[in-house]
Amino acid sequence: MNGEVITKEKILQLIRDFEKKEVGDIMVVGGGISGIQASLDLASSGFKVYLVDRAPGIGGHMAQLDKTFPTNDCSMCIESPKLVECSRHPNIKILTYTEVEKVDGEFPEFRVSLIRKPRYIDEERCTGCGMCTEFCPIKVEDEYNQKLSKNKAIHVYFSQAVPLVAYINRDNCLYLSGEKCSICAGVCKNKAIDLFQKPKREEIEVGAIILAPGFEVFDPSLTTEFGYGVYDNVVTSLDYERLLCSTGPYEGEILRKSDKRHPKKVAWIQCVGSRTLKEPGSPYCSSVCCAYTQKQVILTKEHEPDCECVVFHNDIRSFGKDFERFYQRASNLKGVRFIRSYVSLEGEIPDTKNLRIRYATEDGVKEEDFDMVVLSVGLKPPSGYTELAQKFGIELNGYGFSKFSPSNPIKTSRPGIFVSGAFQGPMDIPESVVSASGAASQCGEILGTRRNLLTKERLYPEERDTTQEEPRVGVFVCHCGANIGRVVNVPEVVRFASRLKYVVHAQESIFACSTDAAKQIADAIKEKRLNRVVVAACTPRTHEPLFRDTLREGGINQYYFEMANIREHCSWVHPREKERATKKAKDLVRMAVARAVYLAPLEELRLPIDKRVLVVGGGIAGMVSALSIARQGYEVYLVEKEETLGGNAKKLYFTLDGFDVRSFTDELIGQVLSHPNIHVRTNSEILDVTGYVGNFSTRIRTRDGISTIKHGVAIVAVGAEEYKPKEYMYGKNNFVVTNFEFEELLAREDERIKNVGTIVMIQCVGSRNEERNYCSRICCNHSVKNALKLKEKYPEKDIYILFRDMRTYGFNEDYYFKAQDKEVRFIRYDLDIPPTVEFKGSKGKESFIVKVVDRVIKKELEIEADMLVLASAVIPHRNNTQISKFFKVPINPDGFFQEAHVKLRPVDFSAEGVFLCGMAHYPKHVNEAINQAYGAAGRALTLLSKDYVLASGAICEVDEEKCVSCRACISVCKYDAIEFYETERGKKARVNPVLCKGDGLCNAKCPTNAIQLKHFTDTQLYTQIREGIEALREKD
Amino acid sequence: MCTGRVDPAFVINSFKEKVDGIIVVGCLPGECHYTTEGNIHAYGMIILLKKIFGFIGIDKKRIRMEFLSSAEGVRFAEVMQDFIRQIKELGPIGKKEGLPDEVMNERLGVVLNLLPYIKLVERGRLRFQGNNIGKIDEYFESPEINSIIEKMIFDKITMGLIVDAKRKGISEYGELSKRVGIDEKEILKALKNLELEGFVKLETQVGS
Repeated sequence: MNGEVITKEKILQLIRDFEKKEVGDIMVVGGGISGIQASLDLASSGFKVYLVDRAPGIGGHMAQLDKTFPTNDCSMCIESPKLVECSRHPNIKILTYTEVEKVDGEFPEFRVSLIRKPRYIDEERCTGCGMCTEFCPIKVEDEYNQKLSKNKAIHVYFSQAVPLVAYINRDNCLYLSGEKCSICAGVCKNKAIDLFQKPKREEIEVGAIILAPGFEVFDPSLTTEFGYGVYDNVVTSLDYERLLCSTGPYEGEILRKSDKRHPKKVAWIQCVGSRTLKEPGSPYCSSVCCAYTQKQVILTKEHEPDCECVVFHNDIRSFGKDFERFYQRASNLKGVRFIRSYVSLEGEIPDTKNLRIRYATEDGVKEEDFDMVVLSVGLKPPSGYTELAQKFGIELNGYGFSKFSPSNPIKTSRPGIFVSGAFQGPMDIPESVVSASGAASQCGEILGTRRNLLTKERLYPEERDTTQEEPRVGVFVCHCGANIGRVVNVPEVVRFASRLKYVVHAQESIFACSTDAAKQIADAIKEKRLNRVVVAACTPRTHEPLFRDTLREGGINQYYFEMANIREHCSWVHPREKERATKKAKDLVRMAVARAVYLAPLEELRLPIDKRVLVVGGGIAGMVSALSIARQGYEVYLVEKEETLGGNAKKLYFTLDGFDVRSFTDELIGQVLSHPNIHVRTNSEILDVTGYVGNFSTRIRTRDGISTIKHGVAIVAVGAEEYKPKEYMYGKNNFVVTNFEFEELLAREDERIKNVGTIVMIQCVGSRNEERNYCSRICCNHSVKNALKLKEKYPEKDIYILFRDMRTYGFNEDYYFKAQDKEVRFIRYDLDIPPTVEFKGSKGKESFIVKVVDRVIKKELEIEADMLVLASAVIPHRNNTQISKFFKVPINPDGFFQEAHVKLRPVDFSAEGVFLCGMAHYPKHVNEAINQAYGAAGRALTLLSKDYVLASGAICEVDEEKCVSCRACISVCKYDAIEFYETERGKKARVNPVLCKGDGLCNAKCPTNAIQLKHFTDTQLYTQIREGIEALREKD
Repeated sequence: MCTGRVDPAFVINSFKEKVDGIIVVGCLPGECHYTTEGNIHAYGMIILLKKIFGFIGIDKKRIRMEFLSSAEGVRFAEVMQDFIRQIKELGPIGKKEGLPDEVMNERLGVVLNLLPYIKLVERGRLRFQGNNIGKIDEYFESPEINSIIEKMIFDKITMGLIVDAKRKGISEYGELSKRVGIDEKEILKALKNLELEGFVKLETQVGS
């Protein structure tokens, strides 16, 4: 940073100066899930964003995935609402099919030159109707479908693409290759085809840049090892995602390329292009392949219950939250085998096109034939990474990913340029999302003064007063690609719906959630004067906000909307009973229409936001969050139960990559203590929390007594603890220590270490067992770190690591290699035969006999050890249950806090206004906790930067005339949202709309139906029930 | 909206519409997504309804409450299949119970009319504490609670049924007993109560 003070006046001047130019606050380069999240967070916290992607549409790799682990949520279904949100956001401008040419200037005045590649389509005119595609004579390989199927030279990238605009593949188009053809231009009704389009240069001024270019998958055709591109039935895992997907090449059928038959036996080969010293592969672990393979196995068994699935793997790396259970779920399926072995692909059997795999087992080498082989390809840096680094002037690490300091993985070597997502290194979707929110927060730190200067509010057409109109219902029935359409006869449901009373319009739609379908709904509202809309599609849990927004676009109140879930409640659960499923879909639609008729317009409530923040926990995560928020000008109260700040970081002395975590922590503590916006309360205990988003009140007890903190947002960063083992004589013998204790002994160069000859480390003590069915994520790296430090200080000492699966994921794999080089001996054991330890020596001359069955050589080994180091589990903080009750946020079965959505809301809680970061979420490394801490700050800023939040209009209301003052409602409302007040006719109940959360328990308790939950009134609900009963009767 | 929003009227009305079985599914105990524990309230409401249905001669097995988390898709399917199997065994409502449509509707109608009163009794006398399902079951099995339910709810239902029957011209004890579904002694007791409250005149009764 150049130290210049950026004043508001200066910025306004800048804007005036460049009135004719495109000026924004931040440019996000890369439109995958990470770039999308960063854009949305920034745009929702007062910044104008340019989102640039070189692909014809945003969505990135996530748009190609079928489902996501470990919940098996449909990938497109959860991403699609985000795509639409981006396209509708008034403060995000999406530029697709666009390359960055160069970046001039410095923070905070970057000038980015872009090249808009010609689509040969006028984006403003194209409606994405697909007419041109239909008539185009040229077939090309479909990139979106991994070239497994054909598309036309002119086509829309994929059916839910944003923007929903066609593009022409230059190399294949007849006209553009100089031949005669312009059929597309002839059939396009909107005259959107422009075959003379030229590349366009555009310059945009921005204050900061976020790089989110994502990753490429390893290309196995670069080696002959796996026969990819040679044998028909060898596919990559990304190809396989497309095969599984209902929008894929065979509409969700898994078919072999050679004969279009369903494979009955599929093999997965893990670590293709990862964990290898052989070029063109890479030594690092790609972190995501174990889990995605398990997902693919589960999905394969759902598609083809009889299909035999075999996974050939090295270590199983189920180190993420709920991954261990996911692995068990996959491996316990019938007909699924996980085999730990290196393999070689022997070749293709000519007549069957099956593939022969050779592998090692405990009983020797075996050969087995498979119908199909899936290569679990690793993650590589984005293509053209060297050029990318040059253009943006940032440094890369040895593997081509962005180079970062563990103290801030989001920051690059160049001020004002940040990195989010997999360009930091291989990571899964939640981590990409977290780092995106984190990058947004860091942009806010340096561009805070220009917040809300360039942005504008979303404008909706004026709401039509429909209260005097007869109900006019529009019904939209979604195919959801093939998700619904394959089972339910959608046209028949549409015909049925169009005959229902009050229905004046009914139509089908391939994806009701796509931008064009949303537009059709909005248009239909206006043209047909609809005043009720029913969408029969998926679940309101993910899609209701989108459709409500569409109603507002159409100019009617958003509460005139009802969904019929004919996917989760119908096509997905009755895939084999098509006729009955169609009948059920009709019934559900009919019920939805019946309720819709009685819907009423509702107003949302504006809740003012107290701009102060409470951060619970003063470890690294809590401190980083607090600082990031404080630097953006908001006041933070940081409460810590201990005497001092620092948390678990105080127990760390070294890190694998040499990062000085101690001085980092000390510096962080110094910054926190001296920041004028941060109020630190150590030795404090939370007594209770009341309130709701924007308006919390927390009472704490410190040494100075009890005080109350008012705040609008809270961040839970309470950390986790180390398990004190009951195993292996821990606590009874001074020479049995945990990893953390050993690290301290090493740092102090304790006598105990100096005097011992052989040290044995035992992994998974207290983790991955019946009591704690999760992996503690950090212990493998921790042990390797300690082992390397020991070898560095005392090269003569012998060290053994007894492990189940080494989980040195990501770039830490390097250190696993290094430890093997340094002759740290690794011995694998299985859960069913854990190592045993006998005490042999005497006091003062400690000695242990460690017995372990080596699964590789199938022999029991005896090691005489002088010291035992236990890689003990990370366990949830003992106060989690209490904190969970205070903030009304859930904890998972393992005792860690449960985020709102594993994939796309990883630091949010379902309770609004409360966020999560650090080990309170799950065990994690320092750099991961820091990413997450910035992420939580970024999410908090989306609230803090606003003056109010909107609360649902679906809350309770009392009809005073019917109220008999019995207090039944008051007696059950734990939100204290109902109170008595004096009227001329005595005391009557009244609802405080700010406090009511809309559960409706009072409604069911009221003897006179005086209190009604709006949007779910007795009439609305019972009408729907009665219609359902009518429908059932007709079946008989 | 929460399971606690399920109004007893929805259940009673649905049976009036000749639904054969009703299942109410709520969040797991202790895992309320609000803080109001409406799932537990719903559980209590279902127990009370079971008792009332039992009293008016409708098989209690036609209504069930289950607790399931959104992550338990497989269990949900199992529970539903089991419930459907059970309802199929019971057959159409009223038939197994030996209740003609008219009688069943009359009885459900009386319960529906008494619902405001029943809600007040629940509020005043039948509230339980905590979310321990075992303890709630025990609570509803206790003699004190059952005595309250009998005196404050069942007796009122009986009276309602008698008034209803008499309005339809049924006044002979045996007939009344059959129609209302309780024995003659109880009928006499209820009639006396009704006379005290001025709903019926007993002398016209005795003569018949």
